[in-house]
Amino acid sequence: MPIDIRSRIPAASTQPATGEDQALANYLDFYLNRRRGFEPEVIVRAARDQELLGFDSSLFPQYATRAAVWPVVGWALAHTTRLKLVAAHRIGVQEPAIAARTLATLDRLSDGRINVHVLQGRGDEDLQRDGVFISKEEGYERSHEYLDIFVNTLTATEPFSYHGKHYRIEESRSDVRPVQAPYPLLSIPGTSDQGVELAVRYADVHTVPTATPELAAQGIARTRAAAERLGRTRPIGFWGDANIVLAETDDKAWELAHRIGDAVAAVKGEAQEHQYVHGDAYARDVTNEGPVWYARLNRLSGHGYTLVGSPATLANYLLGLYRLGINIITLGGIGQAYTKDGVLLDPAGEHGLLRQLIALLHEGALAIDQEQDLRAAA
Amino acid sequence: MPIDIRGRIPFTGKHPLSDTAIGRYASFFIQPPSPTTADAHTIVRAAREQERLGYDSSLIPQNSTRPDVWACTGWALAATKRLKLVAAHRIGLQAPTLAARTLATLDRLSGGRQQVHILQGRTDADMRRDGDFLDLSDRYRRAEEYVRIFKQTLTSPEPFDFEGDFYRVKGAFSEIKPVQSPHPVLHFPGGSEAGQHLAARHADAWAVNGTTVDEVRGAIQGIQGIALQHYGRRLERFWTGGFNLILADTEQSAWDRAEQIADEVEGFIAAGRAQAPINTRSSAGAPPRPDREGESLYFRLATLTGHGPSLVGTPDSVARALLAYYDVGVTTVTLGGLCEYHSFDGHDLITHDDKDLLAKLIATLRRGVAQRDAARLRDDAAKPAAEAA
Repeated sequence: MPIDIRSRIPAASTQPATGEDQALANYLDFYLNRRRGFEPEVIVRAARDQELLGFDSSLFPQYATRAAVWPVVGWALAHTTRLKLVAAHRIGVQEPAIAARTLATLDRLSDGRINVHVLQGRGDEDLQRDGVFISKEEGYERSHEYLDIFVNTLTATEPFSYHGKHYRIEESRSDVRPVQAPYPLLSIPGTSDQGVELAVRYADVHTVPTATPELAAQGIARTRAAAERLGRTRPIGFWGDANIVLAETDDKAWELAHRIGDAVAAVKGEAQEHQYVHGDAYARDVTNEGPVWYARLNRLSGHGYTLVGSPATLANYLLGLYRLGINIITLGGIGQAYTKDGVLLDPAGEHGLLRQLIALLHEGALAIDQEQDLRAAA
Repeated sequence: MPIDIRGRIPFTGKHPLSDTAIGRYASFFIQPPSPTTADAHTIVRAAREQERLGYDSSLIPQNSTRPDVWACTGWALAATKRLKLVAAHRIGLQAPTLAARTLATLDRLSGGRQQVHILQGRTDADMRRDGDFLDLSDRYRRAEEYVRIFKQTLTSPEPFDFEGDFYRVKGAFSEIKPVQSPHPVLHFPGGSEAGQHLAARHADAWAVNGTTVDEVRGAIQGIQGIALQHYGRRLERFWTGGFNLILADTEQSAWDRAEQIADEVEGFIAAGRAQAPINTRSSAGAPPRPDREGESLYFRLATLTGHGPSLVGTPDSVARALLAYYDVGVTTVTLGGLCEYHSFDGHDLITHDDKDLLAKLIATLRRGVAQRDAARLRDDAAKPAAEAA
């Protein structure tokens, strides 16, 4: 699969910094979850900027107390022409046929630019706010049924019925079909055994760590082994999520990263350990840091892997992950500071650095693809 | 109150039945069988055209096999600045908290232009296609819980719990509140007794169960009676949902056209080229309507195709007919048909003259409403003085 450089769609606005320098403030807003509110101008401006910067796709995450995902993804799609949008979608909150038809409709309207990231949920509290009370075990059982109906709704050419333990439908059909064939890219995260199995059975893409090449390779190998065990023949893609601290040189980037770490520690206390690090079990276990991975910041903030460096260093590192098989890479935590009117706050030139990094990644990936094609032909 | 002039947004363009003017007019009423996909160009074009013509709002209806309504209203809202969109939304297919957040999100994205029409679902088969097997007798009990949670999510300043027979939530809360205050206009239909009680309890706007002026007057009085007696409230808005327009410069040409369209449609159906009526009205057992009733109502096309009734005439005569509804309490009127003539390949199937007639009708109707509102204000102002005298 070709490389896909991914961002995230912000909806909250940023107040211009008073006192702190804006560059540091931008990172702290992210790591301390300081941004609040919901501004349509931010969504539109950010989506368009991401498109211009060269991002291939962008995710809008879900929270049970915040904006519904499908409408925001639709809004971003309506205001862009090339960017793909990724809708985070929890199982169990809608009938699967309804969710599938929503996905197909947005794919039609956008001429084939939506992906879906299918989740168990952000924990019990989040699910219960929307009326979902189910054990983890039963949840996975239900997820299999949900995805059976979901995929069928997207692809069936005849009406179909389904009588499961959790879901039942009769003579279901959808007049609206997606543009992407057979259906939009479907990713599933999860490091538990059931999560990996669900991904292997239904997903085009599974998620793996980006912290170090070893962790990435481990994640990939585990998924591939499960795929073989469960008899899956078509290849599975991989998506690695990262938050980056970016500067012109590695030294400047690490200096900035340590200032961020110190500032977060000052607010939260150094000993703070987060239970839920972006839903991923790996970060808690590993004590070494990698060549670009700043683990301290993840432990302090609860956010996903932070990678630090210059555009060249990070491009090099991430292309290494691309060679391993991670073709979707999120570059998060940066470039998302907009006032509520959609004005970008970027005194340190984050956008310029991002543009450079993305260009290096696209060029590098192309070279790797060509190299691999030549080798395959030989 | 200022009248809300409402259109409908089609999901896809139409195929003209034949290469004649009548064939093009007839294409709104009947189409060759084909799946209803979602066509962005048609949706955007229809929304922008209606905004330009002076419509206040537009409905996107629903059916279980068709494109998702929220996705389409969002797309139409993104393409417009002033038009309100009304999403037909079925109870029972998702968490009411999520549905409420969807409404609030679209209202915020659009600057306060999203509304909702809250439905049970057309037929049992339709419901089962989407996974809803609940008995009719339970549906209204479920609807009551759904609507209460839905409204609470839109307005509650704090997280809340709810424990009912059909729904349970814990810590439900939306940080995203709608722009429209306290929430967007909630429309409800309601023909059955249970439906009318649900509307009487919760509706801001009621889709009136009646077609002629007399039927509409009676229906409005009926539901206001229920609302007042049982729930201590009054409904504010009344919506006649179904008129399709056939307009011309003279009465004669308008009626000629209506009959010619109906003949064309009849021929198309007889030749086996049409798909089944799209809106099977729940009027099974009701006596068939005569072809014409009163000055402007025309039922032949409705009988043939399952569409709502047609209003036929000149902008002046049709405006007069519509004002008669306003006089008995209607606040929102759908003027369909003429606003939905977009072909599958991006053109219009009606002429500029037709659009001018439609714009003229809308202007005439607004003038008539404004005159009546002004007269009412004068009468209200005169009353205390008259009583004191």
